[in-house]
Amino acid sequence: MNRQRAKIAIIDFHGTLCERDCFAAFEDFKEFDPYLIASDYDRFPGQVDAVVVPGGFSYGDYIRPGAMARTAAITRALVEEAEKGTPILGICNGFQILCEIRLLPGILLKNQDGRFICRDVALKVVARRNAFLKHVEQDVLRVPIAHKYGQYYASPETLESLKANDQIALQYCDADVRTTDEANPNGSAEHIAGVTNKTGNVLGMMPHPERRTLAWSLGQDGRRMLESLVAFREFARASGL
Amino acid sequence: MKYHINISVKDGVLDPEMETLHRLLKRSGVKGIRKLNHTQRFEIDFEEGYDEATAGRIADAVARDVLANPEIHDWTIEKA
Repeated sequence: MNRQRAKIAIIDFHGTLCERDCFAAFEDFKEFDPYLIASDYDRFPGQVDAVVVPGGFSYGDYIRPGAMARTAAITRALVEEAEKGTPILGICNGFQILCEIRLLPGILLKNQDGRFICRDVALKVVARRNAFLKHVEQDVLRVPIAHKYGQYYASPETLESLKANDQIALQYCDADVRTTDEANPNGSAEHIAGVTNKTGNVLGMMPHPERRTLAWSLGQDGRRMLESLVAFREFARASGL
Repeated sequence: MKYHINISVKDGVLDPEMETLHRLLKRSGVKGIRKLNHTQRFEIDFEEGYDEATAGRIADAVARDVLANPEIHDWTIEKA
């Protein structure tokens, strides 16, 4: 079968760290053709089927995590892809970047207890509007977090509109899928671990699904999100989009 | 020509650093403090040949787009 593989652009900002993990996760699928692109380029080289903004410490977290990404050459092209409806996934620092360049509402503040937290969390899949979640059948995904600035914050008005538009995609939860304060590792508003933009094509999340995708990983729950993108693409092709 | 940009955290937004400092001060016996806030000040020094209107516009854009995040910050810009 000579099927065209989906081009996955993985953006490498100065100080991004998880680009190789993301590359390995996508490379493990025959449906994907991932490539890294440095943030100094002002356009993507041709076709882009999805964009990943990986985690790390872009620009040394100067000013605020993600803030300096606004000045990068690739940022304008990224915003254009978002406006075209291309699926975009921001992970950890990538989520912070998407918030800072205003593709997503809100901002990530320092964790409530001020500490760096690195451990597995359970995520309740709340809304499936995004391509990376649309075909996830599980109600809970177990993936790790590793961040110091992961406390999601938005004004009360923004939080209301997030709820009204089904933009809360993932919430921290316990083993019984309850979104308790104890299960909220960083004090995020509404237990938010991931949100989408209004149209649903841009998803930002603090946890790292790419670290739970390969056969030797400690779990494969992150893989479900990539499988969802495969299914989403096939759906898109079948419907002639 | 210099401009100062002062950025502070909006009322109602938790500032964990200031909360921690406040708690530690209380614990060490400092009394009477209701709340601690902090303001960051940036100084932009323009090259020769920029008029006030242009420089002010640039300072405004830099403050709004990069230095501050409107979700959590208030800011003021003043000519130094």
